[in-house]
Amino acid sequence: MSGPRHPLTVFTPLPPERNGIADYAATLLRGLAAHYDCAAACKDWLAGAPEGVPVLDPALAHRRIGTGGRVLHQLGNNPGHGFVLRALRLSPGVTTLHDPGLLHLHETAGESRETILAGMMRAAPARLAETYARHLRRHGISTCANHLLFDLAGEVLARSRAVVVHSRFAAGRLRAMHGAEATAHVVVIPHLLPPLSVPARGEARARLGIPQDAFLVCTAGFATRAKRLDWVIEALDLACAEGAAPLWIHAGAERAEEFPLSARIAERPALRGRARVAGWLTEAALTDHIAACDVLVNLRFPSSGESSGSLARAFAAAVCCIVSDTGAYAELPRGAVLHLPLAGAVPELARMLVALAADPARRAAVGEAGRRYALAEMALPTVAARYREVIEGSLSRPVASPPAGPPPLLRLEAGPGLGCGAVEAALRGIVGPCRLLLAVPDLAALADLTLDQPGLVTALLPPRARLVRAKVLAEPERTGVLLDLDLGWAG
Amino acid sequence: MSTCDRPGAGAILPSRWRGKADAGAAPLLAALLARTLPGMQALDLGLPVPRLFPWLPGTLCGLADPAALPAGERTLLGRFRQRGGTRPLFGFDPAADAALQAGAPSVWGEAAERLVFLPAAALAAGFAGSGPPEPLFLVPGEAGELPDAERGRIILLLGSTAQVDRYDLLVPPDRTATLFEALRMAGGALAEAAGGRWQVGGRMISPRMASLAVLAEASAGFAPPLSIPAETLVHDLPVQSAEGRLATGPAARLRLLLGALPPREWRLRISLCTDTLGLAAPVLFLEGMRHPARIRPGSEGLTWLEAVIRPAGGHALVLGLAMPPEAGPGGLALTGIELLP
Repeated sequence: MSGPRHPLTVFTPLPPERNGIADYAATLLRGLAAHYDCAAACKDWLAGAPEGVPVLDPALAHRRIGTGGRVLHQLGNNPGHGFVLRALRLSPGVTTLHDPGLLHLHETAGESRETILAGMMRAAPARLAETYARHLRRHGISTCANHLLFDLAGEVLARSRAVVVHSRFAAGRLRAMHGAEATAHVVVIPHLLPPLSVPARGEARARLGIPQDAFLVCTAGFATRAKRLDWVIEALDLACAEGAAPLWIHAGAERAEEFPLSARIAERPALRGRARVAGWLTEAALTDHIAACDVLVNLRFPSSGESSGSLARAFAAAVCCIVSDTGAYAELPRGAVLHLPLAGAVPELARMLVALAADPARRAAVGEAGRRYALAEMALPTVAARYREVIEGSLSRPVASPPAGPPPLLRLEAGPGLGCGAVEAALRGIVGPCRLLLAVPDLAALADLTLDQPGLVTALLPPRARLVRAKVLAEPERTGVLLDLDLGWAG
Repeated sequence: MSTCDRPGAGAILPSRWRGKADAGAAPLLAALLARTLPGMQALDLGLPVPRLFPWLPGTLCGLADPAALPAGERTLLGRFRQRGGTRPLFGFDPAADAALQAGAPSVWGEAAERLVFLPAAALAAGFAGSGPPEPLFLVPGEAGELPDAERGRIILLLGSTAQVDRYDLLVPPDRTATLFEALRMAGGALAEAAGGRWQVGGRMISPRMASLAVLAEASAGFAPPLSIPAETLVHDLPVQSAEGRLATGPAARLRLLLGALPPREWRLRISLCTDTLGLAAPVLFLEGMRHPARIRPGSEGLTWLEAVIRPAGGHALVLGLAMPPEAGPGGLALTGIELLP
């Protein structure tokens, strides 16, 4: 590359943190280092960055960045990314949104309920959001459905110069939730192919104690509910009944609170001695498992457009992959993977496994097609060059800023006819601190009003409004209750 | 052997004149004021480039208008606690700030004298009526006049003959002559004690105005060693220093606000209690980046983490310590920091 090498500061988790985005970022930094003087701002100051890339305390990163410096954020939906979310508020740049849902991140990284509620109000049809938001504010109820209905990506979209996602599905989902204008700067860069040194299948099997002639199925990553390991268990049970005799290793950690994988396996006598959970694996051990397997099963339902590092690893190893025919996976070329329909998934998966167990040539053909696809679309230099285009092309794009200056003062005449709809309408479009005067003719009228309607203020305020302070005023033209509100900020 | 001339300040104006002072002469300024005003308590609102902190022991620091800082810097400074971890920096806690501005004895203690460093004279209005004793104000040269107040002004020209910083000490008018004389005496004594060649001199220009120059003839200026005990470390942990130690507890990281150091080479020494060191030494960070350092045995019961640093200036230096996982969960204890020229 010719010309000056600009500094690029990348806010991201890094290994040894046990999450796929940390591995992705470590690989991506190697590619970006060809274009920029990179530094990685990581909560773990002692994390492992590639050779030549210093790790920086995120709290001091702004001193390196200066005004208008190049910044990249790697954001996922778990608490390990809380510092990235906070950093993108202070130092806007390009954000890679690995998972368009961000509710889990907000819930676990100390974000205020008002920010969550404000984000919910932006991310779904108003009536739906209002209902769920009231459940959350009044009763503390947050269901699993919330994670699908509300993605909380609005703030990230507003505060980023560009947003990178890994699939058209993810981009389309954001567009459907947030509208064309708010997502005009969303670009798709495919997941990257890790530059792996893949061991030979026999060598990897020898290390893992897998018989050379066994038919080995792998699943990988955190055993979340959406990975449909329940379907995998059932399908393997069926496949066993049909004489396929597969072995199965889940190459990842169990999250028993989300899906009790070991317990479910133990319920199936046919899988006894055939299935095991390896737990969290180092990068080398995970590569061994992928290289050793005959088929990688990588399912998602429901899908919110996630991408998969283990799938990229399987492509690199030319392993035959079965994926759900939904979300981002549906975009993968037919032939490069085998797509599993959502309807009738269990018997179809069992049929596929039985067929593949008996047809090594078919497995090899699919695996090779996957590898060729990945080399063409997901190679590190290609992905890094695409990132550079996006970073350079978005430098001058303005980003939204939090509200500045004194909070706006609104006035509503309070009386028996004042309802929450009028208050919501008055507060619409306002974010951050705000003052609302519920005006009355005199203090006697205020007393009457509050006696007639106990809990008046709470009932009037919309869910995203947090009451910071209430003060009774008895001034000319300013008699009533002055409410200091925090309306959150979600872009 | 020092030489102390006593010309008028105007006679020794150097070729390199810095009307707007940075931290280059901060050690000399602090030493001069400490000699002149024993028992003084200082508040330095110069962040991100403080002048008295950390050179004047016990100085509280902060800034008058955090909202004017870039958001990242404001967030960073908002993390820190001073007086061993008991107080936020000035500017980040309206209640605590109000007590300081009002001259509350609970904050200022029994200080014989109160000195406030302000980046602009107009900010003194916030401290109006906060006596007795009426505070002295120190401002960088050309920082303007105090609003609505009659003040004497003592112009201080400090540093070296190669590089001069100007500060103005704004004092009650009737104390101008007394304080000038005390400063002049202290400057002379300081030069004698420091050794080498100095130019020290000044005069009363009028009953309410004086000027004093204290300039080293060595281009490196005045750079004494600095020792910051645990009790006065400014850090970002939710703990307080006690019994001469700052114990990190289970925290894996610690940030220390060091202030703005004169831009030259310093030997940094962090004193760690040997009995709290685990199997691995902490890793030193300077301005957020890993910095080469070495561990060596210190005085009794202490281990020293030492490094050579060359601060760039322009903002308050931040040190970091990261404890590797092998260091164990108990955390470290620090007894203080030294900066050796």
